[in-house]
This record gives sequence, C-alpha cells and structure tokens, in this order.
Amino acid sequence: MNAAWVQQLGWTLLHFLWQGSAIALVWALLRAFLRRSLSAQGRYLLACLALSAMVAAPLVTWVVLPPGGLTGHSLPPLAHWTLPASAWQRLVPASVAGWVAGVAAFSIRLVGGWRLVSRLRRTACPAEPEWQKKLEEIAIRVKASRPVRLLVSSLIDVPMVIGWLRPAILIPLGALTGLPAEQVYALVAHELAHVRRYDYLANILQSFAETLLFYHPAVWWISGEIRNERELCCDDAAVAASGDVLTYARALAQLEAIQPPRLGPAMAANGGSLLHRIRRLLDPAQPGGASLPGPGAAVAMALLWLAGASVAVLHASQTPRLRHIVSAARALATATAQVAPQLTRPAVEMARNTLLYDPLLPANPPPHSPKPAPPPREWHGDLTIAAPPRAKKAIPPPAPDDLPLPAPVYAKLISPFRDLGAVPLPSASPADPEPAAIIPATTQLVQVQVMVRGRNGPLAGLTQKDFQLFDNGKEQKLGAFTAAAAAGPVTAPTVIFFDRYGIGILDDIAARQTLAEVLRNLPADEPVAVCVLDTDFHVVSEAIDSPAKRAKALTDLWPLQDASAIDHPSTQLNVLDLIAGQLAKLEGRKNLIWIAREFAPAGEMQDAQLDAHSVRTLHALNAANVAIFPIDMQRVISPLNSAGRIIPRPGTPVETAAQSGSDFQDWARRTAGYSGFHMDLRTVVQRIFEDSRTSYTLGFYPAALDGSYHNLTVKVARRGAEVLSRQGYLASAGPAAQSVSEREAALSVSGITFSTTAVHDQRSQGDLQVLTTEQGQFIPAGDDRFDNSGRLFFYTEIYARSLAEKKNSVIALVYRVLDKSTGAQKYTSGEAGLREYIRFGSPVIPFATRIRSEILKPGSYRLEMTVHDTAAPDYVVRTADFDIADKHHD
Amino acid sequence: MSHVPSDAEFGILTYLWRTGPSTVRDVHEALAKSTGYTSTLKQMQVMHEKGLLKREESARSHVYAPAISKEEAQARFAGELMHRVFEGSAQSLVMGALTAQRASSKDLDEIRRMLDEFQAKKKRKPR
Repeated sequence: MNAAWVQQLGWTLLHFLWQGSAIALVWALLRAFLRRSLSAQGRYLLACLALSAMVAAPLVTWVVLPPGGLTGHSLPPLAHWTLPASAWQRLVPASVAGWVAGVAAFSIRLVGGWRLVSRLRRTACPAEPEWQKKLEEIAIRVKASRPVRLLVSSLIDVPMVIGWLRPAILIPLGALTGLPAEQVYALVAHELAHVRRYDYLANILQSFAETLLFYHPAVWWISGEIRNERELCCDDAAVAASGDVLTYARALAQLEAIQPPRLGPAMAANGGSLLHRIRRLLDPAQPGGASLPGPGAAVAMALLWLAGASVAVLHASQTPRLRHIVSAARALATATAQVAPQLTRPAVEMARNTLLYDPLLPANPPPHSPKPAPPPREWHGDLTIAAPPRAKKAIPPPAPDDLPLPAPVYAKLISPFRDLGAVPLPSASPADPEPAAIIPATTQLVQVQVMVRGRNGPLAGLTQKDFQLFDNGKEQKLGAFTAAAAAGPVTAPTVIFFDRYGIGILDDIAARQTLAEVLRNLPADEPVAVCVLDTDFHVVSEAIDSPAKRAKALTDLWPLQDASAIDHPSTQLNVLDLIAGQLAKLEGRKNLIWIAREFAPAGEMQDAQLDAHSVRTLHALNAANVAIFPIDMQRVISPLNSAGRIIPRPGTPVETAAQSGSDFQDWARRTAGYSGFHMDLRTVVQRIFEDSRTSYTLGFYPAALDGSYHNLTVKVARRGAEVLSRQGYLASAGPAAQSVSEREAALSVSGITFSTTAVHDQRSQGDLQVLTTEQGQFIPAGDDRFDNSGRLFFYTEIYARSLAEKKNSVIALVYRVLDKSTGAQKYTSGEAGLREYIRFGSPVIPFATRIRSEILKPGSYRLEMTVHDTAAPDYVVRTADFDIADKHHD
Repeated sequence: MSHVPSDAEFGILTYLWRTGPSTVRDVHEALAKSTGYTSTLKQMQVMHEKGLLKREESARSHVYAPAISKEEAQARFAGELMHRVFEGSAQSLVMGALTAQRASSKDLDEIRRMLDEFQAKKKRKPR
C-alpha cells in the first residue's frame, strides 16, 4: 500500500481538504460582494465555476505534486504536533482506502437513484394530446427547441424533468386534477426552462463531482447552492415566458398546498424555502441566494481547513515550490489550532456530519435558525426495516423427502397429460389370479368402466349381478367387478378439448366464460387438462394447474379474429387421435369434454377418406378408454340483446340438434359419454364431473385376441337406466394393448404386479436394483398387502416398438413411492437405463425390482412408475397401490 | 397481498386513475407502446388476476378500472427497499419545481397573504 501512486493519490486527496475549503471561502466572499449586482443566473454560473474549480484542484495537485511519500524523520514540527509520525505514515494509504470505499458507496447510491428515476419515467403514462400540444406552444415561448414529452405520473408530488437526450416532463397526477390549467402551464414552463438550459446534464455532472469529492462538505454545500440557483433561474424563465408572476407564484403555493402528507423523511431541499422563493418572485429587489452553510458544515469546513493546512505545511516543507502557496494556510492553521479547544463539542458533531454527510439534509437551513442541523439519516435503519416481507405461504412447504423426480427425467416427462395419471384412479383389481400362477404374456383383462344414470342422477349401489356385458354380441363372464363411488375428487381424469373451429365469436366468448367459471369452482385436486384447437393445437392448462389457473387459461385466449377461416374435419380428427394416444397412457376411464361446433358422426362424413379416418379415431378413443362428451357450442348463447351484452342462456338446450336425430352426439353414444340434452353449458359440464364420481368397472377375459376391434355392449337390469360405457375395444395381443391405440403403440407398459418372492440375478444400477427374470419365474402375490420385511418386488413388462425395429433406443425407468393419503413422496428410485435388459430383436423387456419396503412405515402407498423411450418422445406412467403392515402383526 | 405494481402496470394504473374506467383499446392507444395490442390486453388481464384492476364484464369489450387507490399503490411503491434507499439520491437527480423542504402551514398562510396583497396592489395601479 505504499506504492508511489497510492502516496500521490493520498496526498492529492488530503490536499483537497484545504483546497476545497479555500475555494468555498473565495466563492462565498465573491458572492457576498456581488450580491446586489448578480442575477440568479449570475450566481448560478459563479457556483458552477466554484464547483468546477473544486474538481480541477485535485487534478492540478496530482500533476504538481512531487512523487513519493514522506518519512517520519523528515516531518516538520507542526506535523508532529498534529499527529505522531507513525500516524502520518498510516494516514495516507488509509485515506486512499477510505476514499475508494466512499466513492464506491456513493456510486452505488448514484446508480440506485438513477434507476429509480428511470422507473419514474417508465411508470408514467403520456398526457392527453391536448396537453402535449399546449406544452409545445409553451416550449416555443421558453425557446426550448428540443422535443419534450409530457408524461403523467402517479408516483411524484411535484413536476420534474427527467432525461437529457430525450427529455420528458413528468407532471404529478394530483397537480393535473388539483390545479387550474393555467397554473399547470406555468409549472410546465418552469420545467421547459430546465430542458432549454441542459440542466439535467449539468445536474448529472454535478452528481459525479459529489461522488468523487464526497468527503468535503464544501462540495455538497456549493452543489446544493447550484441546485437552488437553478430553480430560481427557471422561476425567472417561467415568469418571463408567461408574463404573469402571480399565476406562477400561485401555482407554486397551490402545488405545495395539495401535497399529501409525506410518508418518508423529507427529501432533498432544492430551491430554498418556498416562502423565500415566492417573496423573491413578487419582489425582484429582494436579495436572493445568500444562504450560508449550516453550523455543522461550517465547523467541518473549518476543521478540514486545519487538517488540510497541516497537510499543506507538511508537504510544503519538502516542496519549496509549494511553500509560498501554503504560507497563508499555515497561519490560518495555527490560528485555528489555538481556538480548537473551544470547538471540541461541535467538532464531535462535525465529525459525524462529515462521515455521514448526507445531501438529503437541508444544506442551508434558514439563516439565523437557532436549530442545529437535523441528525443524519440512518441508512442502516432503512435497510433493516425495509427488508421485504416474507411471501405468504400459499403452498405448504414440501416434506423434506418430497423431492421432485431427478431433473433429467422430469424434464423429459413434463407433458400436458402427465399428471392426470398421478391422481387416484379406481382400483380396478383384477379377479384374484391363482396366487402361484405365472402371468402369461398374453393374459388380457379388458376393463370397461360404466356409468349408470337413473332418472335422478347416477345410480349407486349396483352389484355385479345387475350387469351384462356383450363382446360382439356374445355375453361374457365377468371376471372382475369394482364399484367406485368416490366422495373425493372425480375418479376419471378429464380433458376439456375446446375446439374453436367454425365457432361464432360470441359463442366462443360465452362458452369460455362459462367454462372458466365451472373450472374455477372445481376442487383443486380434480385432474383436468384443457387444450384448445384454433390456429394451432395447444394445451393451455395442465392437470397439475390450480383451478384458478385453468380458468384463467380459458379467459386469456384471444378472441378468434376469423373463426370460420379454418375448418377441416381431418385436423380435428388428427387432434382427437393425438388426445387418444396421450390418454391411452393412463389407466382407466378418461373423460373428454369436446366443445365444438357440430361434428358429423364417425363414418358419415360424406367423404370416403374422412369416413375411414373418423371410424379409426372412434376406435382409438374407445381403445384408449376415453368417453366423449360432445357439447355443441353453437347454441350456448342467445343473440345479443339491445345493449350489446352477451347473455348466456340458462336452462336452454345446448344440443337441440341432437333432438332432431343429428349428429354430434353420436360421438358420445359410441364412446361412453353423453351430450346433455336440455341443459345449458354450465349444468352439463358440472354434471359430467358429478356423474364421474360414481362408476363401475367390469372386467372380462376375452376369448380371442385377434387384433381386431370388438364391439362392447353393457346392459343393466334397471328400468329406464341409461348406461354409459365404451362401445368397443381393441383385442390385441400386445401387453396392455387394451389401453393403447394401434397408432400410438410405440411404447407400452403392462400393469404392475407385486410379488414377495425373490428373483434371481440381482444387479444394482444406482439406487434402482434391477432384477431380471430370465432364469426365474415371477410369482405374483395374491394380495396388495405386504409387510415391511423388505421382501417386496414388482414386475412389469415394457413393450417398445423401437426395440423390434432395432433402433438404437434406450428405455429408461424410474419409479417412486408416494404416501397414498398425503401424496408425499417417500422415495424415488432414480432413473435406470434398461439397455442391458433388452433382448435383442425382442420388443419386450421383462423388468422386476425390489421395493425398499423396509423403510416404509405401515400405511397405504402408491407406486408410480414412469417408463421413457428415448427414441420416441414418449413415456408411460403406471401406478399401483399397496398397503404395508407391520411385520409382527402379520 | 401487497403486490407492488410493476413499472408497466403502474403506467396502466396511472392512465386509469387519470381517465377513469377504460377499455384495453383505449389504454393501448394512449400508452402508444411499441408492443402490440395483445400484450396490453394480456398485461391488463394479468393485472386483473392480481387484483390490481377491476373489470366490468357486461359490456361487449371489457371495461377496466383500477382496483387499488393511487395512494395505496404509492404506499406500496414507497415501501420497496430500492425506493427507500435511493429515494434521496433520485431526488437530487431530478429537478423538481418545488422545494422538498415542506412549507409549514404558517408559511403557506404567509405566502397566501403575500399573494393576495400583491394582487390587490396590482389592481390598484393597473398598467
């Protein structure tokens, strides 16, 4: 720290102590002499000159100063008197360090202030064109030639100018409403004068000077005076432009009067006291701008003079060149030193003011004010108080072990329908297989979910005996039966497909508003995804979104500019195929609420190609176990009333077309949905959710898996009951093919089977212990209740078409165990690539692993397994529930 | 729920405080932003969602009005850390027409008296 430049800089800064004071003294004397003869503008220029001299002084010193430092031996007696020699040696580097820190701090402050000012500009809105026009008129009178924008701000209390290259005048909203127009014009004239005078630029340069020479109170004093005089100059200009002192003075007074009580501490004092300013305006003879530094600043400057004089003397003793310059300073220093004891108390105050000097304090309290300068602002207090309030807890914090899936997997898995699978599904437990049976690869339980409606709503309490199931007309023996009457969330995941093709714009708006309202009122855990087809097909809200977000997604859709522009059934069918393919990955029944214009029945589209496509689509939907609830949007609303308002028409049919034997509802009839006659949109959507809470699952083993599409019929032995069930399935031999459409079967995964029997050939891959069943056979457990002995395995078969096609694909698998009641994750396996388990040329990967049941407390759990095929952007989620009981109780 | 409006949101709020309830189209045209109409619409819908704007939905195009008062918004803004720390610095960077050193009510009375006196004097001896 004793490098030559540090010494040089240190001495330069120290010399400025007396230089600054000297310049201020000269300036103050000059101003007092010329008080009568100088205008505000003259005083302004004089102050600017003084500040420029202050900036120039250190530069000159740097050049003039002999390089190198001083040693203790060569110190003159006076220096010893001021400080011990060792202190001098430390003082120079210390003052350089302090100066650097101070400049940094004030720079931050400057940048912060500047950013805040930019915000003021950004938060303002343009004034009405009439005001802007008036401003331009005034600008001509004030001779401000640059273009200036007039902005209205609600954040400021007084008009101000912002910007130098693109100046803008900000008018407070309160002034526009609280002041007569001519007073506002007068204030605008004042601000325009600033623009003409390039005051903004001058002010910024001034701020730089303050930042660099922050440690000298005289800098702040003169800088403050420049600001005062500048306002007075603009007062004069404003009056000259309008020729009306009174209006302008009244504007100032009125502006002050309408000020709201200030929230924070007082801000910088520009322009001196208002009383003084107005007195000066009304009586030009009134002498202006004779403010003296506050007592604190005055004492500070005197002491700095003392210190600075010591520096000068010290230096001068070694620098004959400087001797004559500082001889006056030496005399003054000696004199000041003699009175120093009397200054002790103010000196303490002074030191504080110097260190914490803040230009926010009035630099010039009214002359003769007996009050000392107010204490410096407590910056630190601000920092603590203003710590941002903690965000309100909207979501309970996740349990420590409730971690998301590992990032790489999760990123790939994010997909619109992903989380539909993570909600409770009716446990369609297959009829107990023989406990020791080996699962044959071709075993296929076809599940049919059935909703039964009586006259007054869904029928609950039916038993297996009430149902009859026909496969291609042949009655089937029911192999499984489950009744689910969930009190909780809807059991079937629902996709709302908002198909905007050919929809009238008003129908569109009304339908979206109604739907948004329904969605907003659904329970938060209701699994609903919303997708939209307009110029594009997009998923606007996912199943994990909150009800409010879903509703917002709908209301936020842009109105269709030309709704009838695009209308091609094949696009709609393609989208339905896509939805079927996605939903096939989820177990059980799914609802598809298809809000559209009327759509022809499958196979009756007057076009051979479309007919074939539509039948294929219908089959895919059935195979994917998707029930369609078509809603015709054309009749959702009535025409506009006289006031141009859209009135959703409550209680009127949305499906009048269906009554006349048409058409759209055919899609419902041939899947497992309904179309809701005689109901308005709100009622029908609410009913779909309501009805989905009660359902039955029928399971049967088909006689033949011939790969063709089979028709299904379900009958219920109840009079007048309406049976809603899918009307067909795909009898394909692929694993889990009953839930995978032909077109989308790139990756499919069988259900999850539990076992307690050890499996051979354990290998470990990360946390996921992969077992293979090559030599062993997997014995399914006859129960879903296990103990926590650690002997719990699960088995699944993964079918990836890409494997058979010999593509270089990697199948990855990850599973996690969730607490069934809370949904909290108990553990996750980490992702495992299954490359080693691929049997070349075979599309099926048999896979088994051990579940770490030993770490699970007794309770109910859900296993959620995700299989991902890297060759296709495709994944499948399977879940299975199981209970863990304590080992000793079992 | 003390959401601090963003800068652009403040601009919209300021416009609405100034002119009263308006449509998105009005706001967009007045603010004359370089961004498209849809951005303004989106922004206002977001503000509605945040509770900064009220929306009258019965008209054919929605009419928006501020849901918070100017004072409330100012207080939120002034409460921000950045604002509290840098307010003083910002104040010295702009040139306000008024001294920030508040005139006391006594001063204001004195000023009014002076102004009235001046006006009376002027009337007595017209040019």
